Formats: sequence, C-alpha cells, structure tokens
Amino acid sequence: MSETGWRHANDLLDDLFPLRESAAATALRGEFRAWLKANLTGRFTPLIGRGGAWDEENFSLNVEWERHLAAEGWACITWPKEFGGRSAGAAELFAYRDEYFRAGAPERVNFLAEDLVGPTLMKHGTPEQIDRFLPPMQRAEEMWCQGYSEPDAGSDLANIRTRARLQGDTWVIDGQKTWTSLAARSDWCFALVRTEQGSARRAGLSYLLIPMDQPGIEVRPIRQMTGSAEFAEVFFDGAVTSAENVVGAVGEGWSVAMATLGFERDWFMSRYFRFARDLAVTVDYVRNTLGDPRAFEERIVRSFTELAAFRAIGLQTLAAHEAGESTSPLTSLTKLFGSSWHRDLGELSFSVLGAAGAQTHDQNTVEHALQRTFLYSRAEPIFAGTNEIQRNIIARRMLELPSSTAGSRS
Amino acid sequence: MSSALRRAGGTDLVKRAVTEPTVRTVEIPALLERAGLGDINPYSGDINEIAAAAYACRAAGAVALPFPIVGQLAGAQSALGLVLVSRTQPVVDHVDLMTGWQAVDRFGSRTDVVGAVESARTISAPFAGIAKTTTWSEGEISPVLVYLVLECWSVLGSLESALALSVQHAKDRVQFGSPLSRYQAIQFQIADAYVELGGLEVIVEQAVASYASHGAQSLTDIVAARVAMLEAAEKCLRVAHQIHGAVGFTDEHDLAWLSRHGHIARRSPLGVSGTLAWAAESIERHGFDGLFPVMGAGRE
Ligand SMILES: Cc1cc2nc3c(=O)[nH]c(=O)nc-3n(C[C@H](O)[C@H](O)[C@H](O)COP(=O)(O)OP(=O)(O)OC[C@H]3O[C@@H](n4cnc5c(N)ncnc54)[C@H](O)[C@@H]3O)c2cc1C
Repeated sequence: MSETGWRHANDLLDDLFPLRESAAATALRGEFRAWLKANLTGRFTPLIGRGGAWDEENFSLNVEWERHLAAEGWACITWPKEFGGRSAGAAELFAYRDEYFRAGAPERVNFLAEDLVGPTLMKHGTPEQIDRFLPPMQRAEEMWCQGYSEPDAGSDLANIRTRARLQGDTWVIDGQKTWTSLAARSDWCFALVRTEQGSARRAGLSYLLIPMDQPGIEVRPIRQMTGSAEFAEVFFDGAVTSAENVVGAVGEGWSVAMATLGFERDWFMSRYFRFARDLAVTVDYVRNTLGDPRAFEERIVRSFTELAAFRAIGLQTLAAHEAGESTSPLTSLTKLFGSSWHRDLGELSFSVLGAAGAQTHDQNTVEHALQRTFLYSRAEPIFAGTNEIQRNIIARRMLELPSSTAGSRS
Repeated sequence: MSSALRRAGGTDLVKRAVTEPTVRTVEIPALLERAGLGDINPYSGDINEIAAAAYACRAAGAVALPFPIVGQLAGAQSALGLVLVSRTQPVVDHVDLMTGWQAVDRFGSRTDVVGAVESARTISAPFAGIAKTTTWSEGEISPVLVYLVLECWSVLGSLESALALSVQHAKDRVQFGSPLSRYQAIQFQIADAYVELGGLEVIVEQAVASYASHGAQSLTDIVAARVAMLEAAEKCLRVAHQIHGAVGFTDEHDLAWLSRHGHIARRSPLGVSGTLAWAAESIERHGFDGLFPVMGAGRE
C-alpha cells in the first residue's frame, strides 16, 4: 500500500477545509511527524498500515511499539504531565492523531487503558488507585479490557447479572461477561457488576478492577466473521479482587460506567483518522487498479463529502469537551454518523474489489485491507452503543421525551 | 430438496466442509443425486425445468450449500459443469471440484477449466480458487443467461434465510423487558428488508419466464435481475446484521455463513457498478420490455 495513497484524502480535506491550528498544535504536529519518520521503521515496519486487535500476527510487536511510544513521551498525550502525559488539549490531540494515521502507524491495542479506564480513574479513582494503575497503563505494561456486556445485557446494560460480594477484604465475583475485546490479552478488566443483592437496573452496581490472571476466570475467545478472535466470553467463578479495587462508591458504579462510556464516544472521534485512511486506501485502489474509476465517482464523492462533515462534527465535539460543556447528544450524533458512514464505505470497498476481492489471504495486500474494512464495518454500528440506541438518545433530546430506555448505554 | 438439505444438517454442511473435504466431494454430490438434480435440464425449453433448477438453487442458497450447484445445473448440456467467470480475474468458488468443467465469460466465449492456479481461500471465501483455463473460443449466450438466473435464485435463498433468522431473533431476543420485535426501529427494518426481497422474488421469477419464452433475447431482463439481486443483498444483509447485534458478527452464527456465502457470486463476473453498466449497455442495444417496452437501438 502506498503511503501517498493514505495522504491523498487527508491532503484534499486540508485544502478544502484548512485547519486553523493553534501554534502549539502546529509545533506538536511537526515534532511528532519527524519522530514518526525516524521511529516507524526498522523492526516496526511490519506494523505500517496494520495493527489493532484484529492483527493477531503482530500483536506483541504492536505492544512493543506502544511501549516505545510511551517511553518517548508519545502515548497518553492528553493525560496530565504528572501521569506521564503532555496535558495536550483538543487541537493538539487532533494534530497528533492526524499525523499518527497519515504515517500509517498501527491502530492501538492499549486504547482501552489510555482512552477509557485511565481517564475514568483520573476522574473517579482514589489517589492510591491512580498511583497503582496509571503508570503501568501509560507505559503499556498492563493491558486492559472492558467487562460491560453480558448475554442478557447488550443495549440494555442495566440488566447486568454478574455479581460480586465482599468477603472480608476481598470481592468474590460470579457470572459471565461477553464480547469482551482483547480479554485473552489483558492483565486487568474494568467491569460493571451487581454488588447489592436484590438490586435492579442502575442501582446496586459497582465498577470493579479485576485481575485477569487467576483461577476463578476463564476466557473463551470467540472467532469473529472477520477471521480473528478479538473478543471473548469471560466466565467468573469465584474470581477475586481486593476490596479497594472498586472505583467510585460501592453501589454507584452506573455513573462511573457512564463516564467511561462518555470517554468511549469521545474516543470514537479518533475513528475519523482511521476512516480517512480507509477511504484513502479505497480511492487509491480505484485510481491505480481499476481500469475505469468513473463507475465509482459518485459514491466516492459522497463518501468524501460526508467524511468532511464527520470531521467538522468531531472538531466541534472536541472543542465542546475541552470547554467543559456537555457533549451529549453530540457524542451520540458523532457515533451514529461515523458508524453509518463507515458501513457505507465498507460496502463501497466491497464493490470496488470486484472478483479480485475474494482471492487474497495475504494480509499485507490492499485487497485484504479493503475486505477487512468491509467485514469490520458490520460491527461499527453495533459496538459502543448501537445506531438504534443513539437514535433513541438523539430523538429523546430533540422531542423532549422522557427516558424510554432507562438503563441503556446512554 | 429443501427438506433433504435440512435433514442433512442445513448450514452444518458448510461449517463441516471447512475441515471435512468429503462433505463437498462425496456427501453433497450423493445428496443432490438422490434429490434428482441430474434429471433437470434448464435448457429443455420447458419452463418447469428451469423453474425446478431455480428452486433447487434457492434451497441450496438457503443453507449456504458449499457446492457449485449453479454451475452443475448450468452445465447440463456439457459433460460435467459450467462456470461463469471474469476472464481477467477468474476467481471461482469450489474451483477444486471443477476439473473437466467448462468456463464461459459474460459474452458466451468458452474454455476448459484444467485446474486451479492457486488456492485463494479466505475467511469470506473458504473454497475459492483461480481457475486455470486453456484457449477461448466463441460460444452461445444461453449458458451465461442460465447461470446468471440460477445464481440470483441462490442468493435469494441466502437472503431469505438471513431475513428469517432476523425475524426469529427479533422475536426471541429480549432487551429492556421486551422482545426486539416490539421496537418500531426493528419492525421498520424488517419491513424494508421484506419489501426488498418480495421485489427481488418477482424480478427473478420474471427473469425465469423471460428466459423460457425469449431465450437469448432475455439478456436485458436477466442482467436487470442481477442488478436487483446485488442491491437487495446489500440492503438485506445490512438489516440482518444490525438486528443481530454482536452475535451476528461471530463466525459461529449462521448469519455470518449466509452473508459471506454470496461474496463471489456478488462480485464475479461483475459487481454492482459493472453490472449496472452491463444492463445499460444491453438496454441500449436490445431495448427492454419489462412492463412497458423501452426501445433500444437494436429494435428501431
Ligand atoms: C466488535 C465488537 C466488540 C465489542 N467489544 C466489547 C467490549 O470490549 N466490552 C463490552 O462490554 N462489550 C463489547 N461489545 C458489545 C457491544 O457493546 C454490544 O454488542 C452492544 O451494546 C449491543 O448489544 P447486543 O450485541 O447484545 O445487541 P442487542 O442489544 O441485542 O441489540 C440487537 C438489535 O436490537 C436493537 N435494539 C436494542 N434495544 C433497542 C431499543 N430499545 N429500541 C430499538 N432497537 C433496539 C439494537 O440496536 C440492535 O440493532 C462489542 C461488540 C462488538 C460487535
């Protein structure tokens, strides 16, 4: 895959919608670009254009890369300086991610720590929890997974049944989580569990940090239709974690979980950069490989235009977030718009592939990347709150309706 | 044939076929033989024969049958079987079962399949390969038409199964205290998919009738049916996956097999935009009857 191809769509967007970037962001951009050029080479070359949970072959190298980023001060940049970050603001984060994906740097496998549970701990954790957990998160030394969903609690998250009871200074956990991404690779799980017997819905839940490597936990990976086994079922049978590993007050886990979900939807904005790259790969393929690209002109233009809109919404969300304003339902809008956009792009990737699409199992080819985009785009409107749930949230706000699905991922 | 396939395990056949080669080489051929597939000749000129072939393909599609049944039926005139390929990218499902078959391109030119150049198996096409062919010579268009029509029926069968699974899932899956089927957002998606498939069914029936009465003149109707099939596949599978949530994204679920099953059929010899261009080209040349005749250059 040519690096120029990836740059193409982004450059065009920049020409059309120039970023009025802060001086700090421009400086960070330049510094990071040079760093990536010097560092994303040599042994890290196999990661270019790949990486992320699906890339099982390169998983350890991906972790190594993220440790290298951290060691050089290029991970967790929005985290405060005292936790190893750069206290970067929204504009700098935008510039950082932009450069990262343009360079073809790999998708992150430590994002659940960096973007979700790390910020949650900063907001709701005790000083001891912060001291214990943040440094190894920042260094990508301990990997994390998210234990929310259960067989009967998908969109209806408040239907959680996994329960934990306090015995002396230990939580004892029984139940089951499912669709837990990266569970088989993780050292820790942040999980929402029922700690008050007989409680229902949002009440009586707690947010626990649970070590994964113990006899009471069994992880059964589930193969996805994309071919890799990114997520897993996680069975808790007398699993334990110490009493102090509860984030926020006991019984108040719902609001902590919602804080994490807010970060998750903010994180979703970072998909923009990934999406821009996916579009660029598609455009590149059409230009270089297909005899007659005109057949796809209209769909590409539509995709491009909507991507520009997604970028604008995302920038606005980031700005609102930074100004401390509420980003709901903006985050729902971002999630709905972005995942629908990506599903359309997936179908476009499927179309441009033609007969060739089915013929490659070499993971380094453009054809494979396009096929993956297509298959993976099926999941985008489902995880982190489905399209229907986002529509419910937006509609509720617009129509000033009472909450009809209390306890959903909202 | 539907019940024979169901008795044989339905979609278990495709799941087993990945690790047990004899499912495709022994079990399914024997099953199809018993079901009388060998007696169907879609070229006989009798509409019942091609309709029987169409129904067999629909039943096969409904369980994502891991066997080139379309090619076997479309090859009723040649010795073994016949497969429609893109000449520049002859990617073929089950190419390993096709030695001694013939390949045709979309204009009807023919060649022999003498093997597979390389195995090109992926998660979306676990039995695919690239056909190795010899020299091409001119031939007739009718095998192309029969192949295309039957393939539409096979994909229709898969989509109907995907929708049936979605309906069942919407009834069974409870969230927020109600089955999903109680939510209008789900009802509307199912209704849209149902309308889409109802339309496709009429169109592919019309394509069969058109072939039976117009033979080679039915090209436009049949390519148009392929356009409808490709569009319906996109819309229906989108709905099916959305309604299933995460479970439909797993490799174990029947939906994943059904939705991947038609990938090669939907791309080869031409995908959506190529097929649209082909339809336009055919209308231009031969006109298009449909419900109201549209005159093309060829009919002036
Ligand atoms: C690739 C992937 C990775 C994931 N990773 C994780 C993870 O790491 N940790 C984790 O905890 N979870 C994870 N999930 C799970 C994800 O959060 C759930 O899939 C999601 O919340 C939806 O739940 P569900 O799959 O059970 O679908 P369901 O909730 O059963 O929904 C099925 C369908 O019904 C619709 N629906 C449900 N309720 C309503 C309603 N009230 N009105 C209208 N329509 C409705 C949904 O929108 C959907 O279309 C992952 C999922 C995927 C696909």
